[in-house]
Amino acid sequence: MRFEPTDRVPVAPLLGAHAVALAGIPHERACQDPSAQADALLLAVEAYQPDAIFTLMDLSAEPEALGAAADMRPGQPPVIVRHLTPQQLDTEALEERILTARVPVFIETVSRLRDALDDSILIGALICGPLTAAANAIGIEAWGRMLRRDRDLAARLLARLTAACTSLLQRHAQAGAHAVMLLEPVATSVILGPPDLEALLLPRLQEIARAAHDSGLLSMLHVCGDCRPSLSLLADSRADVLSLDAPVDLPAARHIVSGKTALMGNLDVRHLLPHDTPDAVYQRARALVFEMDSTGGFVLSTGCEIPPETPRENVAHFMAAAQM
Amino acid sequence: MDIETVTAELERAIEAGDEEAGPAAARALLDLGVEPTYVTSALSRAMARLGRQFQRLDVFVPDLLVATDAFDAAMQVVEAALLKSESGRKLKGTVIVGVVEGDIHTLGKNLVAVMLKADGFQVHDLGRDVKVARFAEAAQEFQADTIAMSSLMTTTMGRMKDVIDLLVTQDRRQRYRVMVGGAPITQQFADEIGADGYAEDAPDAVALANRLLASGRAGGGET
Ligand code: B12
Repeated sequence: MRFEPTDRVPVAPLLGAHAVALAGIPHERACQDPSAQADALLLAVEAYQPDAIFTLMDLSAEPEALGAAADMRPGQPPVIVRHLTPQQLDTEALEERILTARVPVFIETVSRLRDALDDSILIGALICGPLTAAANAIGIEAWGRMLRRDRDLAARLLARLTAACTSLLQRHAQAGAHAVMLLEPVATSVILGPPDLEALLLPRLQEIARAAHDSGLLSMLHVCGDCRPSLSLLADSRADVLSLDAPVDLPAARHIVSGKTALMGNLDVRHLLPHDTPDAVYQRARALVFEMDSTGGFVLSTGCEIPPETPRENVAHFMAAAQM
Repeated sequence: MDIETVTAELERAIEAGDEEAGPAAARALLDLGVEPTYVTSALSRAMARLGRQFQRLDVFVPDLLVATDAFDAAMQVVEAALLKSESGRKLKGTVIVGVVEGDIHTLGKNLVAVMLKADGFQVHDLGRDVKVARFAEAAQEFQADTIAMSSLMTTTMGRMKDVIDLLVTQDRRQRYRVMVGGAPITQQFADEIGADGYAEDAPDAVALANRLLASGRAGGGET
């Protein structure tokens, strides 16, 4: 998944929530039980033969470990029901704390995937990026206000969470992950404008990419939503792969990132994947492959995690589009 | 200082999210003898301008959050005066807004709420992860005529239909105008679940609320 010429485009959708539904496992169980989660992901690997498999996306796992309270809901992603104060997050203890609560579930899932798959496909751990972890732990409104009213504290919290993310990715490396994908939906351009991205987050992303490389991991960065205004900055994150959501035009993005990072994406998971026809999914994915595949540096994927209710046929047609 | 200068200062303070200068300028205007509705118009203008800047991505969510605080602080100053004033401010109606159960994406809902407020609606924000029954109950409690629901996920958007179905079961559907929005929502979905309207962003949500108000469609409020 670096820049080597490929005989076909690599395909690596974020299968988590769909895999769990496909396996008939309640979503909340997969968030708490590594064997259930790993079984579901392995079943999806068997069904779709992707080039990579990622752990289930759960943006509440790290905030909960940091001290926020999360509620499990039947068949749904967890809901953060109580946030921390910024002061509670302002401590060196985060490096240890981030490894508690349900976070070990995901580390153990990686270990099980590696046992079962070895090096046959890429195994990626999804983890909350420092910004998203901070914002989801203290509440995004509190985060936004802090950004304007107490920038020093905001910067300090990001530094602390960067250390925490680093300690977490090292555990994933030990567990056998090949890659770590940092999830930063809160870095979407409407929330974190390019000036704040450049001043506050970019240096942290670079630090984490370096730490991933030092641990022998491929470093991936995922930002949801429309982040066209931030692309040239995101290209400087030193991530090997930048995974983008459907609102971004990938061929145009490729000009902007100009080889600094491979691109991954970006079929729409809000309408197309769950609600459109298998043929429409195939056509759209195929068109993207044609537009992107000429020079390598592209991984066909979804714009974010595939929703649980997505029909199996749609995912199969998505996968087929990668074949020549 | 003259009215014009203070008005400009008020609008600047709101746009800059200045929680102290905003209410201070509102107070200064009232002291200069203007009608409270003059102040609320200035506040609306500032928020609407900010909304347009946000659409162009000249400003970002954190800017809107602090502007909302400054707006709320200035509104508090004016509200006391509005109660006493002869002209009063005729509120356009009462809206309850909330993010549906299971969903914690609050930012879009926040924007819709403040823009409706700035446009003269009375708004009660129920927050996030709002249970189906709570929407119906709060509509009664606040004597709302409009229910605005937000959902950002395909897995939670079905709760909007549950709220509408509950209102139908309770034989209260016709009392409310129901607006829906959020990333996965479409006009088609709004039609399918029997909502009265869908809007893509906060400025459109305000336009929609006004259209529904003018159409006289449902929303008699509680009697
Ligand atoms: C920021 C974000 C988060 C933040 C939210 C912080 C917060 N408190 O709000 C955090 C990190 C917490 C988060 C968590 C999750 N997220 Co999220 N998130 C986003 C993201 C990137 C941006 C949303 C946002 O705030 N936009 C900015 C605001 C201003 O825009 P908006 O919300 O769209 O609102 C505007 C309009 O929609 C409209 N509108 C909104 N509401 C209403 C209501 C009415 C009545 C009207 C008329 C109009 C209207 O007006 C608004 C203003 O202009 C979106 C991507 C996207 N494209 O939307 C994903 C997204 C919504 N998230 C998604 C997911 C899956 C999740 C998680 C489940 C991930 C996980 N597995 O943990 C969790 C949710 C857990 C839960 N139980 O809710 C998916 C949903 C996919 C799907 N299947 O539908 C999205 C679409 C990403 C993607 N591409 O897949 N997320």
